[in-house]
Amino acid sequence: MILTTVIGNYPKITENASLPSIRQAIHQHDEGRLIDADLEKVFQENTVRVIREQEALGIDIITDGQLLWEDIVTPLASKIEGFKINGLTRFFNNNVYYRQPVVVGKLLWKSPITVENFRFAKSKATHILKAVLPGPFTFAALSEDTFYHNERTLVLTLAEILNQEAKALEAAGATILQFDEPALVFHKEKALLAIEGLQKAMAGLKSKKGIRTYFGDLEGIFDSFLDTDMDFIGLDFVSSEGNRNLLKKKKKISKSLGAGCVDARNTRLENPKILKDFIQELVEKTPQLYVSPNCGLEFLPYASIAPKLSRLVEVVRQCNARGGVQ
Amino acid sequence: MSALLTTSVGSFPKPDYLQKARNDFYRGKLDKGKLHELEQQATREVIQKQEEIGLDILVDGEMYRGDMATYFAEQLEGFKISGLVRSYGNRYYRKPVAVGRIRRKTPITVSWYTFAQSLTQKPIKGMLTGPYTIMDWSFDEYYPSRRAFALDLAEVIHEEAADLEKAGAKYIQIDEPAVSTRPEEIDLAIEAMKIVTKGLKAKTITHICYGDFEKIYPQMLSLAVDQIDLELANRDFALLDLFKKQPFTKEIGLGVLDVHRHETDSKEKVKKGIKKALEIFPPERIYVDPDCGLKTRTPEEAFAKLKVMVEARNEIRLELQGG
Ligand SMILES: [Zn+2]
Repeated sequence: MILTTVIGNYPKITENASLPSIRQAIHQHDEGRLIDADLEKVFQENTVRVIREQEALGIDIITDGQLLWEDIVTPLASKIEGFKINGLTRFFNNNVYYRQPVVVGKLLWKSPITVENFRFAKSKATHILKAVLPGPFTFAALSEDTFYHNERTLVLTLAEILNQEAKALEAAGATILQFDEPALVFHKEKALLAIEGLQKAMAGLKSKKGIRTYFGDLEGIFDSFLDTDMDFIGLDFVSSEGNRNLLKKKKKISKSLGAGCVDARNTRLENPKILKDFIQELVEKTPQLYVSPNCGLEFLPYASIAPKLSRLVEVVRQCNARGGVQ
Repeated sequence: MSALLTTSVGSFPKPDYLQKARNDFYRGKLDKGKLHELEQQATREVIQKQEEIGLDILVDGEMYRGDMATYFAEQLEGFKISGLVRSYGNRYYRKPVAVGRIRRKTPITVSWYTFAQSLTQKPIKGMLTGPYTIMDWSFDEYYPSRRAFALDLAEVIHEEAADLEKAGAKYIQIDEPAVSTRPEEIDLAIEAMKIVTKGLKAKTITHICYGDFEKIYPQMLSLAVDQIDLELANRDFALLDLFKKQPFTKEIGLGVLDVHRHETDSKEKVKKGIKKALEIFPPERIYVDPDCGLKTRTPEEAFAKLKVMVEARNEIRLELQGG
């Protein structure tokens, strides 16, 4: 059976006033008008909302929406010893910015960082909740290194740290662990280093583990990922043609495939017929297909989320009904 | 002496009273007429400030603009405006959404240009956002391709540029900050710019920033403008070394102030940057300005930075004259 999922983040605000808004709460907290505990409460209420919304829309494997994540690296970097957080810089090729972590000393993981929130979200979820972390290669690519002065050392050090975090998430009940590696699509020449890092980050994990890549394709380097321990590989079929081309040439791949088929960087709604034909093409090629948006949902305004995810779920249901039980 | 002319990239910080008025306007607590008055007041102040500092080519300061893509979209047919999306931290903005064929109903920036020019003897630079950037920063629910979208926008921005020229603009800047983020689409940006500047007699400039210049150089020299304005200070002028290897065939807008820092840049650093540029360019082909728009700084920070810039330029001019 084809399963539906999302990549990770979800819009933090709704523009309707049914719940206290995270935006306002952060603003009030910054001005000293809201205490930490109340801010935390607003995050939790909204996390529950995001979980309910994904479940109601019919997403099989959900996330906590990463509402506490300003971006894919800051929440971790700010808790890892040896990082300082620097000024804003562009997030890949998007008109969106993140604060760049700077490695200023030996990196040290002191205690679990994302686990408490994962545990909270899991206690509220009735669908499978997956845990999402940045991959070591992307984490390194988004950071500035003024300490190790060696990319491989940095990637492998981060891989070690992410492995500890992943194990802690597993201990808290995570059964799917996803590492996001968007930087790969811009640095294909470094695929082997990325894989070395990922192998280390995934070492000893018992859960289903894999990567999601987005903003581009893995054409030319995809096969290297088939010889790794990861269970799934996620591809973006929207941002460029490369992944379509590479899959066309394959009859079958040995791993589960995450397929980003809905454009999470544009509000235009997908044509159901085209979407369905494409998913049906993919389903034959992999032991397990996970269909999702191509990247995190935070690039979209809130009003676009339900139509986009509903379209995705509706088409996958049609495919499943037609394919019977697989 | 018309060498090493000083200017700015376009946006200035909005004074507190205007910021507050804009918020009140969006909450329905202030009418459009009153907001417009305050925008004019702020424009007068920012023109006067630029004259005091001694800049050569002035801008209207963009007191009446929010986001640089959304501002244009709001006044074009074929666009609607999206719900809020986050740009970083706790900052949100609204993006343009193309829902039909993009057309210009009336001139967009011309009346502000005319107003600003009426306040000064110095030239006011017309300021536009380029078609590639508006396309890249918008959602698109209408066009069959990014190219079709960008080329329609190019026609619209061309009409606006032609009207600015008719109104008297001697300098027209078409900002394309998005160009450096997708090197694979540089040819589209070049094709679109050709349409924008077709037949213009004014000096045309494009500003590009914060991206992988190495990947679009030297192709970016094919952008159909007289001058390319670049951020150099925040990379300690390292880009100039690239231009030593492969000649930069246009005038350069030399970013010498790091606009992302609160601290005032040192005069020595600014002078060092100008001198380094003088090793490659004759002085009349160098225009000295900040790395990027100043709207994220406080007014005090912005003016202090510009003052240092003009002082540094003046000292170098004296040195050049053998003084
Ligand atoms: Zn800029």
